[in-house]
Amino acid sequence: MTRFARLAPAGAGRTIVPQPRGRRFQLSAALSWPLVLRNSTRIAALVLGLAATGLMPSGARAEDKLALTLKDHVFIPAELTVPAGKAFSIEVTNEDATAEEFDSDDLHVEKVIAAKSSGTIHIKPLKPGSYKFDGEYHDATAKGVLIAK
Amino acid sequence: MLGTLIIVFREVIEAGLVVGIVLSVTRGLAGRMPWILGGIFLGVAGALLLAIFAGTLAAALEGIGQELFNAAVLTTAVLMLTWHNVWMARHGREIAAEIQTVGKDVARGSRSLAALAVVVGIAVLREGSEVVLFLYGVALSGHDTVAAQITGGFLGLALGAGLSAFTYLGLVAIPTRYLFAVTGMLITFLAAGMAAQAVAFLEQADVITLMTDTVWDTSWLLTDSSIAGRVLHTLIGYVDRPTGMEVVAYVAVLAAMTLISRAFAHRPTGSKLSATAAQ
Repeated sequence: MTRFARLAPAGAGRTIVPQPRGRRFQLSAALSWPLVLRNSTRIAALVLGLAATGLMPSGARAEDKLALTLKDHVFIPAELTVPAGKAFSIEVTNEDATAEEFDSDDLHVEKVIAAKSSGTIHIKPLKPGSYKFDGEYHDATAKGVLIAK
Repeated sequence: MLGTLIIVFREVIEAGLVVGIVLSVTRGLAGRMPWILGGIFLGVAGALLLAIFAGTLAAALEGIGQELFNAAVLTTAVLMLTWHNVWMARHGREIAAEIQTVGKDVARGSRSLAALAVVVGIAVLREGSEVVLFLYGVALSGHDTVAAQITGGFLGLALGAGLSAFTYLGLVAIPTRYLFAVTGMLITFLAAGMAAQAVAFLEQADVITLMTDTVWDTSWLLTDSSIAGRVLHTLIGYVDRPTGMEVVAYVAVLAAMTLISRAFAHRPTGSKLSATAAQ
């Protein structure tokens, strides 16, 4: 509104006429902008997603797959070793009758594995070191460590 | 019992904070409670469904169904929060001045309420399904401590509800003139954190493969899994080891929401007009 006032000739601020016009413009904008806004956000997200995925389609890389089994709320094996600097995946098989959440702050992963089912977790290339993981619902027993060398 | 309590509480922190923030954000809007309670109710119903079909969802879309679902609902929440902030930028002053009562304004208010109800529903849905799966597992375990553990679970839920109340009371203690500026910022940070988390799920699904290197590591200071870490994760999107793309998404949403809200900011026409007209 301040812009209007500045552009208008001196004394125009006292007349009421320009004001309703400005206000009507805002109201129509209020009705139409949320849609444009939501679409543009979606488009931006899509562009970002495409840019991110364009270079490397998922599944195109050959990945080593490690097997990890959860039985009686214990991971078998409790220690996995992988080569550092190479992407890989872990197939977690949950043999228990209850679901478990595979959780690792170190690996930046959280994934629910339903009862009597399995799930694959993709891990990006790791620096050498050890990475802890656990089953969040039974973290007293379901513990393990992944070692990248 | 204490272990169960802590696990459940940790899971419901996010939903608890979101409900508390939404309650304070919608202060002064007529008819907000049916929307918020509706959002919670639908979130709980959805959480039960999600828990039942956890296996089906995880197996869907070549094994990345769960990650894509999480990324999708988080993105939806970000869009709803953005829309709400834009709406608030235009009408917050009127609400603060308590001049919004009847007619068209309430109709427009209900659209903003619908957006926030979706956000509440999503927060309850995501965390709730994990609570359901966990408590179901506890109930199935058949140990003689089941009753105590379930009690612990419900106490954890009660603590989550207490966190909502605490957040709400803390926020509404802020003087009305500043309340919406503060909640607007909270919502912006909430949305930025959710956007970063959506990216994390897409990285986990191997959909985003660019800039996935860890940018910094503050796990020595505060881990994601601690209670304080969870609270900060929800409030400002704290992650102890974020990837490059997560930081990009966080900053992008933060900047976009700030700029959009500013662009749509309510210009004080009415008061100036009456002041000049009175001369």
